[in-house]
Amino acid sequence: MRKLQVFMVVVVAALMSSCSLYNRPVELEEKVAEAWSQVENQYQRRSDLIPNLVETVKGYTKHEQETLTAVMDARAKATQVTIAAEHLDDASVKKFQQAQAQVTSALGRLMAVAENYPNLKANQNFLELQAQLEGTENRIAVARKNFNEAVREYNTFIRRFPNNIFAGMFGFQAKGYFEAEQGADKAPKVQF
Amino acid sequence: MRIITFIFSFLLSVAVWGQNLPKPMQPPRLVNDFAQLLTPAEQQLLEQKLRAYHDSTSTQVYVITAAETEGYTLAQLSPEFFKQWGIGQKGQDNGVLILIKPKLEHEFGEVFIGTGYGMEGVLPDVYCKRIIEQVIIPNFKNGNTYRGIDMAVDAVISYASGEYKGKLQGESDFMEALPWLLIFVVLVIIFVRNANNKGKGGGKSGGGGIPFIFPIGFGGGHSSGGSFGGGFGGGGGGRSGGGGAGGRW
Repeated sequence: MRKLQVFMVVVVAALMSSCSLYNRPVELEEKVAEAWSQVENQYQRRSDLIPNLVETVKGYTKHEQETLTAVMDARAKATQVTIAAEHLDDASVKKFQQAQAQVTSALGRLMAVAENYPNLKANQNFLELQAQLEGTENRIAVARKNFNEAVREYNTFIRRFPNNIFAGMFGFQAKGYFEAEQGADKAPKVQF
Repeated sequence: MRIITFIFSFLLSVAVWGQNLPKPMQPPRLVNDFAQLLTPAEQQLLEQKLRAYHDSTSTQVYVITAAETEGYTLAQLSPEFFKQWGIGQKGQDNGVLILIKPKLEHEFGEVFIGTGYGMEGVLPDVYCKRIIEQVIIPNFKNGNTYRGIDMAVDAVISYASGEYKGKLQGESDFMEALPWLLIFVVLVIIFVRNANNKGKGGGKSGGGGIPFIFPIGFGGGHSSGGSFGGGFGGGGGGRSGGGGAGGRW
């Protein structure tokens, strides 16, 4: 009788620990997926702003067709790069990041061009779009940072011994990070 | 090897970004004037207004000034402040942060109005931008720091009014703990019954004692938010996704 009880306790303990070995990475993976959907949302939000922005700029500028087309092209390409939450490996995150970086730099050029048109800069619609775009870039930065933190926690867990043995068994794989972009994560400091 | 260096540098960058934020002033308050832009009397007036608004709506409007930001933009710091200070109530994320870096000899003055997730609806980025450009910057340019902040606070309050009615954190904490409490009570009852039954059979009762089954997560463990009336308890655990707008002069 006593032996049976001890045996049961051991079995239950083993079951519980293997549950947490499975459940914990599932939880962490869920967090990564959630953070990823935020990243996608914010990039989508930026993508939605672009047609309006391009239209507004078009109305005030001449000879800037090339810049405008570049933005639309980069946007079209980036829209095609989507990753399902299950496939967030290093290569696909990198690909996603590169596609979005193209949009970022094309948009940067567009906003630089806009500086040359005082009438455009005074346009209320343009000012509001600009505020929305800035806000979106900030949200993208936060979403990316949160995503990286979630991935780091997940990767650290599945790589740690003895979790790495079970992680392989259950099919948990390391996920990719966003890498800091040169000059993009830190806004330039203006100095005289 | 490259991966390791990358991960290391990544960890490092996160650490730097996070750790150097100042701690909230003690006792907790809504006006944290680190850069000392306001007189004590002005701070007091502003604090009273913000405290009254917080007590009636639970919305936390923080004013933080900082003279040195170590090269980070206020837009980057705003969500960090939200995260570390817990601006706004947990679950409602109804916090607003007015972050100010004064103009120095060789640097622009900067201001950023950051919104918690729950405030993005009533205070979209465009409104924040408007407050900054129409209220704050013109006043700051004229040296009217207090007036600029005070009017900005009024504007934030008028946009946000009616969005949240006071529900502070203590209440929801109890509701969260309730199921655990019930389970605990049931377990105690079962245990006591068992002990009694055994007692009848064996003559001398063992007296039992409380079983060592404490539900995991009992009580939640998060810090409690501010309380109505009385003193201000500090941030309530709100979050921000980087919403808001900034400006410089």
